[in-house]
Amino acid sequence: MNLNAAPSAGLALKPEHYAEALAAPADGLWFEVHAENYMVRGGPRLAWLEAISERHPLSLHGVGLSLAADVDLEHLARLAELTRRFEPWLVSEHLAWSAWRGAYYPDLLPFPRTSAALARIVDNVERVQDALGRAIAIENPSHYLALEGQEWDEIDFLAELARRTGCGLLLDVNNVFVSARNLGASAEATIDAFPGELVNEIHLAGHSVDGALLIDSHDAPIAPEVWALYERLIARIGARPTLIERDGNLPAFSVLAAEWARAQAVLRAPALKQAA
Amino acid sequence: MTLAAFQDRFVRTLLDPELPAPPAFAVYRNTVIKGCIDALQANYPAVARLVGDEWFRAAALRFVREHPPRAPMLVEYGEGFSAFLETFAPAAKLPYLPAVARLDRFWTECHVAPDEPPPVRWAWFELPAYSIWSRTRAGDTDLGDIEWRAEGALVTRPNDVVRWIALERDQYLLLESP
Repeated sequence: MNLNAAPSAGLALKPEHYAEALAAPADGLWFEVHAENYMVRGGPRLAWLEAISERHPLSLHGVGLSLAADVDLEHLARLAELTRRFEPWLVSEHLAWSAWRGAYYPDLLPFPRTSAALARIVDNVERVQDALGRAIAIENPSHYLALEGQEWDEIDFLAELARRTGCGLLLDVNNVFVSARNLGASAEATIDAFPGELVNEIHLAGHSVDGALLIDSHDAPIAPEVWALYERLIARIGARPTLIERDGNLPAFSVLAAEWARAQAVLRAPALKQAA
Repeated sequence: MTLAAFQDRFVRTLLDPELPAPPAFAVYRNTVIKGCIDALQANYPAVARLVGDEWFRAAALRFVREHPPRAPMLVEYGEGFSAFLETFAPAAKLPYLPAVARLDRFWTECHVAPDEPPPVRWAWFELPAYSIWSRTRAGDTDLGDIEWRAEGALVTRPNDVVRWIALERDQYLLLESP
């Protein structure tokens, strides 16, 4: 199945749902996993992923490359091996860092968008793409802090990164919403300005509220405001493969399948609108 | 400030809650610590069930600060937690806890090991760690009738499922013999 020719919706795959994922009707359904969870030498995780990827397209979403710091070559080799083994339709990572001086911090950490940072990330993305033999997609992160010393607007930064490296972009609509609320910007303006031609995957997820901040927690249903932004985006740029990304507070597979069906309906809507 | 200087300062602030930071910085402090503790709890389910959520997460916080992850594969995080529990004063009243942690670790190591040759781990305990571990792992919370005696355990993964059995002393010695 060519997801670029016929974009459909996918689900983040969790071990609790292996059996249902394997049995689900193939009908355009694809799955995405965190690459790091499958960097093991053997065992049931890889066996399940093999079985599921024989029936459904698969994408790999990395959380540990630390592109805004130093890419660990051993970690890159593990990602390359996984990519060779599963031939995912897309490999993606984040505009963030998570490893520094030998320690790993399980989060997507921010940095000031300077030209020096851009040069560093360009080098790292090129190194990754060389090792994988393919272009990857880079995701916009969630923001909580207004950092000093920003030289670049985020969209310009991402577009320039794509121009210099040939990478694509993964647009996380919930991250746009969360960041806009936390930093006092307009989510609609960000969605409207995002370069649609560079987007090869979209993420939809839920968030939580912590005092004055929204947290990109992936542990709740997708919020109505995020669905509205998503519909606005698809109406402008057309259909793109869209992931329902749930990591915590995991509900039954059928609950996620209902969100999947809603995204799938939105993806089919632009053609109808254009025809009308 | 260079990117590296920013990252050095960010990491220092992340790890030291005493350092001044804007209120929103708490999101990063909380997410990083929670990510480590969640991973440890997922990898030590029998220990967590025996001591309860609150106790486990307090102990895990101490462990995480002393032994932060070195690599992003959190599915393997927590090597050394058993040794940590041996020296962790609040665990002194639960002498079987380090051994139970060791069996949880055996499970993880077998789970992610290469398929060939099939992974196998065994140990001998001077207390009924295997009975406590296997029944806790199965969801049994009533451990009152466990006979207090030394016993051994073997954990293996002959195919795609991790399995375990109790070992008698002679079986253990046979495995240990060169």
